[in-house]
Amino acid sequence: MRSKKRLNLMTKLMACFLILIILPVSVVGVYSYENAKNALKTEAEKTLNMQLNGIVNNIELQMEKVEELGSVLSKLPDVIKYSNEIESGNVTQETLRLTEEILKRFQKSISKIGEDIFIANKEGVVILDASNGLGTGVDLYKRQYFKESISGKNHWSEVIFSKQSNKPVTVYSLPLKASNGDIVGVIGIVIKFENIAKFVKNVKVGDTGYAYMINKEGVTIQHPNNEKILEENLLQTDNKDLKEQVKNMIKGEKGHGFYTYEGIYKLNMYGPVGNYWAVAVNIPVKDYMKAAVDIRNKTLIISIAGILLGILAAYFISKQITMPIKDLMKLMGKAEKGDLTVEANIKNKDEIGDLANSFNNMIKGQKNAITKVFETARQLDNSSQQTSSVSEEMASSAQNQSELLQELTNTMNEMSRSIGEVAQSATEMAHNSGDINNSIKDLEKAINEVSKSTEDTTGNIVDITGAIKQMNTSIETVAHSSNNASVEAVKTVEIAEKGKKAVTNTINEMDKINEGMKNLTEVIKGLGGAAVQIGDIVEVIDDIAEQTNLLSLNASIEAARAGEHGKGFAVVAGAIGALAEKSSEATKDIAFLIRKIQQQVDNAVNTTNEGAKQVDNGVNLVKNTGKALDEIFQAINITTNLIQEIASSTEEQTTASKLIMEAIEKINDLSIQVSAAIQQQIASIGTVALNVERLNDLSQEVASAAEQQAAASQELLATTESINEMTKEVSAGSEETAATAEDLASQSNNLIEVVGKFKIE
Amino acid sequence: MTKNQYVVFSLGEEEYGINILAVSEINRLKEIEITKVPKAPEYIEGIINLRGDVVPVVNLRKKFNIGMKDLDKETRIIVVKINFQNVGILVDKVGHVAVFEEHELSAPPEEIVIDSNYIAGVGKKDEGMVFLLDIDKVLGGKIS
Repeated sequence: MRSKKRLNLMTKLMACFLILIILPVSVVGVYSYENAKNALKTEAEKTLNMQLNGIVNNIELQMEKVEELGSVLSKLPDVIKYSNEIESGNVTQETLRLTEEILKRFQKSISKIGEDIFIANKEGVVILDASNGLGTGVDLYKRQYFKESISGKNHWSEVIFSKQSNKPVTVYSLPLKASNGDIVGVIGIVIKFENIAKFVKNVKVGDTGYAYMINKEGVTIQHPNNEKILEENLLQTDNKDLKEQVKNMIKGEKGHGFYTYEGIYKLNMYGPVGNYWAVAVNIPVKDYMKAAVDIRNKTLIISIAGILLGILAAYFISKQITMPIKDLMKLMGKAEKGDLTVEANIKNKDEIGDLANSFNNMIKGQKNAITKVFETARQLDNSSQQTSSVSEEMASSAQNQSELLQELTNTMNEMSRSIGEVAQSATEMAHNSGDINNSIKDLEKAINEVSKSTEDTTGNIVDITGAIKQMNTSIETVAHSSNNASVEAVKTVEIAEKGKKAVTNTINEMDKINEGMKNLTEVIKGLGGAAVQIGDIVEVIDDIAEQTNLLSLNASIEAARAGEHGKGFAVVAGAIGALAEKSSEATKDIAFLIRKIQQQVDNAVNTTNEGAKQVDNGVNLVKNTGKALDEIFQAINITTNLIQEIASSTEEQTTASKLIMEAIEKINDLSIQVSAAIQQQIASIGTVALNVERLNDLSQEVASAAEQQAAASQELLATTESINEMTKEVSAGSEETAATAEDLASQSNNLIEVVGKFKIE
Repeated sequence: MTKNQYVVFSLGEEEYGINILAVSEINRLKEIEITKVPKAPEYIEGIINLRGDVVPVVNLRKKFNIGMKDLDKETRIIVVKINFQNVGILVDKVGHVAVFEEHELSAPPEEIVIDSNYIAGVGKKDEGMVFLLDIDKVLGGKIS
């Protein structure tokens, strides 16, 4: 828990600080670095440009001067005269000398920058110069500048090595014209290249920035490193960037770019100068970036410093916070175990300091409280001890008293035995009072019981009241429903009477049906008889038909026997036979019909018999119904009577319950009164006890009164007795006190034990 | 013509015929009482009084051995004249006098239950076949 807290707080603080520091610093640093870088680059470019322009201007200025000189020279009348004479082919000595003088003069004027001035003829041979003929005779025919000038152009030459001085020079050549304008030769002003180069040489940019010049072949013609001059060809470099720029320079373009030369990363600015040259000014990027790099480094340093500071700050602050908290926890631990002498020694003037103060106050408060308790306990202990000793003293003094009294009593006993008897009887009374005491206790008990039962009664009363209320409601319900039942019963009676009437009607109807049935049966039977009669008749007819048939047969036999004569007779016989057959058929049909009728008659008779049976059944049922209805009727009557009885009895019940309620209320009141009385009684039990005592005293008084009869010694005995009693009281009291003191002592011991667990000093 | 007139009667299911010239008369049992003759042959039913004449009655069923039947009101006695003697034969029913054409007569088949001597021929009518009896042969010889 401890280390965790420290780490947590510290880590939090550290993280906070770190973020607060790193974020702004790095943002500012990066921003300013970038800005500086750009600004510096722009500055550098500007500077380079300026330098470049300066160089170019200077060089061109120089060149212009020389050109002017040349121009002036070429226009001098003496020079023109000389050129005329060259053209005519006749150069006078005078002219030559004059011209040489001029050349020398001019040379002198530019002696700082010029090496020589010469004049060459059309063939390119130097015919005159300013160095006393040192340069004459030199063949310049192949020289580019000669070629240019002889064709009429002013021309600045490439850098060449002078034969005279073996130093690099450049020649400004211009055509030497006669007065007719013909070109007779070339004037050449040899300028020490160093005069031009110096402008380049002298350039310094930044700490290590420099300028250099190259010619159209890419050959370095001026460089701070002299060894490179006319030795290094930049076109041959492997460096792509450099090569590119060199190409541009050769092309005569103006521009700038970056490249790495001899391991140094540079910003290079270049531009053309003259016909053949290009000037470049460069500066190592590092040089001009120094300021930005400076800024970056400083920023880094600041941020690192800031981080370290932050960490330190975090560490210290967290420590400041956690240390007192830990201290406080330690102290709290001690206090928990009971050491209340702890005190937090935290002087922080912040919330932690407040916490410590509060803690201290709390502990002090507790210490005070416990101290007080401790003192009180001790006092209690003391006083209980005192009480103990006091009660002991009391007991011992009582004992002494008792002994003395005993002596007195003994001597007294001799004096009056009758007093003793009285005393005995008084003791008896004392016993009685003891009994009374007991019975008082019993009474107490009984009173408590009564009180309890009164409470029960009250409770019961509440229950009864509730029950009675329920009963009342149910009585009302009963009365209500019995009323309803009564109404219903009346209705039912009406219905039953109607039913009875219907039953009687039904019975009458059924009897009528019965009668009808019987008549019907008679009729049917009559039918049956008639049918039988018909049958008999039909039998007769049948018989007749048979006989007829037989007759016809016999007749046909006789006819046959008669032969021819009997033919007519045979016909007649046949006719009779036919007739007989028809009769026979008819009788068969009739017989069949009669049988049918008889069957139907039987059926009808059966049916009517069945019907009669049903009717009987019906009649019986109806009669039963009638009986049942009667019974219902009776029952209803009974019910109605009962209901009325119920109604009347509910009324009685209601009144009765009201009475009960009243009685119960009275009981409730009574029980309340009883309760009150009981309370009074309980209160007065004490009084009774006292009264018992008084009774006891009274018995004593009685005894003393008996004694008074005797003499002053009886009084004394009484007094002795009372003293005895008092002694006993004291004894008892001291015992009680002793007991109380013991109790007290034990309590105070407990308290001291408990308090003793706390350390307060 | 009279040669082919037959009195047709039935015994059970079968119909028989007797030549009309052989027949004297037909009676029913109602008015006639058959008196039993003791020690007479079984097929003799008894004797009857026919207008003063004593005529023996033969039970044809017994004669033909085709089972017994009770006497009912259909039962008839056909009185036939054989050898100038009247003999009555008891039959179940007497139908009618039938006239058979020549083409309706034929010889009796060989397989018949009853002795073929009795049957002279067979008559065919739409309603059925009639066994034409030679009554002489049926009753001949045994009557005394």
